[in-house]
Amino acid sequence: MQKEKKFHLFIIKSLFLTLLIFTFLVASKFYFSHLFTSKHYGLGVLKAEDQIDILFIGSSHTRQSYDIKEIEKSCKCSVKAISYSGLDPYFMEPIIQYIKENYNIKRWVIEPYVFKLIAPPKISDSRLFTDAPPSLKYKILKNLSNLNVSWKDFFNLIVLENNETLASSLIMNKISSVYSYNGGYKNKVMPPIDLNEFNNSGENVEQFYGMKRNLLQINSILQIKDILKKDKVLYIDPPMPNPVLTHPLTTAMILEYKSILPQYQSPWYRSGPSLAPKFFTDWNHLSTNGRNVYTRMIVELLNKMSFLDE
Amino acid sequence: MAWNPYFSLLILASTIIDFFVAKYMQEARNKIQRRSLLLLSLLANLSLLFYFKYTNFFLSTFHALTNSSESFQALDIILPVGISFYTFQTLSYTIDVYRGQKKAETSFIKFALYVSYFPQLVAGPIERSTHLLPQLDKFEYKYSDLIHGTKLIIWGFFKKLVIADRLAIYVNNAYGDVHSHSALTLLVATYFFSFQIFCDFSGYTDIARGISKLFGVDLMHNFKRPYFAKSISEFWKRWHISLSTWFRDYLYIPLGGSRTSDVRWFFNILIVFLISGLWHGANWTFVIWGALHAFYFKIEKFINWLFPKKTTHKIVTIFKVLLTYHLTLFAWIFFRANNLEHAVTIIKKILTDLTLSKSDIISSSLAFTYDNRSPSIVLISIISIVFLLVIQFIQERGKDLKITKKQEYFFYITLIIITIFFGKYSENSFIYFQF
Repeated sequence: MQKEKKFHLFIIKSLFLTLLIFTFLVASKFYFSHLFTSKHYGLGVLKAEDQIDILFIGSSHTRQSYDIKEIEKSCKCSVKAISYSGLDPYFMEPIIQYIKENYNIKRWVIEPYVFKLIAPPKISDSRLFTDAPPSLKYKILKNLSNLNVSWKDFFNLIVLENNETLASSLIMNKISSVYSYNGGYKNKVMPPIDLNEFNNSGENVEQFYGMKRNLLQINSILQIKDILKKDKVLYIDPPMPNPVLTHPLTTAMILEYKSILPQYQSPWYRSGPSLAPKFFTDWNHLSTNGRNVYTRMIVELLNKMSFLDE
Repeated sequence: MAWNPYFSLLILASTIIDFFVAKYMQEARNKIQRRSLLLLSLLANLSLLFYFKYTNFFLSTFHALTNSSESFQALDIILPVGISFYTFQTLSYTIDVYRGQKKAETSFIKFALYVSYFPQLVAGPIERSTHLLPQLDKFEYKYSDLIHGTKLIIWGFFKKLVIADRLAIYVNNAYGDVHSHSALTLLVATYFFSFQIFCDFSGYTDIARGISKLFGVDLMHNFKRPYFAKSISEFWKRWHISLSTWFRDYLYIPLGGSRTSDVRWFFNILIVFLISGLWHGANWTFVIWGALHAFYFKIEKFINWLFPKKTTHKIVTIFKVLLTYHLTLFAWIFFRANNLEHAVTIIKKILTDLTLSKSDIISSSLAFTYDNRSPSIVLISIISIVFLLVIQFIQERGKDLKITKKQEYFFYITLIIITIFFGKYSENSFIYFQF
């Protein structure tokens, strides 16, 4: 009995100590994680003293669709991209608000992604939270609390996600420059899609069937529009494979998007990359070849729109 | 592999049969009666195992040999959890009673507890009645056992959640699509798998042994730093010890063991390893895995004959350890591959397409998450493997680290913290649950 009591006391003491260390580490992660994330990707690319001529904001499309170095060379200006896989307008809004308040951005290129009108918001890429400074983290958590998420999701996001990146940040910050430049992909080869997959790519749109317009997403798009009302902004989506683009649901989404955001651009949908399988790596991302072509097209478009004029 | 309450009837049937078989065996007057009872136990247990585990395998093989034009329709048979383990455990009991090495258990409840002892029921260690049954007489709390058990559980969870389940992501991605991944990615995945399976299985064993220790019951060691083995025969004295000693005692030695002609000896080894392969799974990949180990034994015997002088020079020892590890690594390809075609593709790619170009290194470092988080996960995986090997190396050398109890205490607290923060809490069950 004495031994059992001794053991139980020992376990309680150990649990208390573990909890203490755990709390300290979680708090440290919450307040300081943004200092240790990559400086070549996501929010980490922003520097306080920077004046950024063009800032791209969007999802994995943004990361994969633009050769940032090439745009910089063509425009002779500073270009950066902030992208998080599957970034919803609902979480894009606090990011834009935060950047607007803290950084000097001359032009914004926002990729809202048409299907986000109906997709329920969620954090698909937890790096968004890890990269965010505490003030932005609070806003993200506030937005998240409006959604039907479990305590487990909160625990994962705050405690478990991206610990590897943080623990290896000293080395990885150097290595990440091999993969990323100012937030865009570098040296990443994205092979072309299989012809069959391309021809059947329209089937992927069917996952959105039956989904209703998401008011949170729509409201956030309107909020973004309001935050950037005095700024030079371009709302745009990268090309899609022809079977995806010509799908009735996609067409309906584009029309609806245009009614909410009259500035929304889709000039290349009837030509160029949307026609050829070699320009896509899957049903909604460009291949290396597609990225090269699309980068040239976006520079032409920006020039044509006088977007780069002072 | 699945669980359904009705399957508990199987373990109950197995328990009832073996309890009474052993009881009557002990009371039997002659050898024929004893042998008939043993045969009854073997038939009952092995036919259940055969039906649930191998029916589809043999039917599909027969179908492929006789009628390859039509596709094979597998029967809807679910493999009950732990059947391979408790079947072998009960068989060892009846065989021990038959041999007179163990008296038949008189308490049905105690025997049922031996068969279904929960810490080791689903994935071993496969306990011997001579070792486990006497310990079930009384459960005694000892402070030292509680501490030792807790340490084993912490260590087991670290191995499973931090190492095995992290490596599983990379291995599953690479082995799930062998045709589109580069040779380097497949090679890295194979190295990772060798540590994934070790940490997964030995992690489970540590947790099982630790939980059992909390009740004061000692379960047998199942692993003794297998990747430090200097030969294949030594590897099998260190890897899944409860199964390899089972095969040694109940199959290899009855077949004649090594005290026979070379040809017969190799035949015995081949039989043991082919059955061991099949025990792991009803798939030809496991059969090849077993056969490879049997051939490794043959080659080892030949080398020992060629170089009878044993040297303990450090360089030679390191070479032997690395060679043994890489031989097992090669066999793991068959063990992990989804089918033979995939295994052959992996080997072909590694042998013919392996390059260390910048793009290959980049793409192989992305196979965890396919984004820029992946290289950091690769780095953490490598660090945790090195940490494991360093700990094992220290244990292997058998030298006392001279750390105080306080330092040891903080080591385990750190291990808990690392497991919480770096564990992968996916729904990966233990690999050996499927066997």
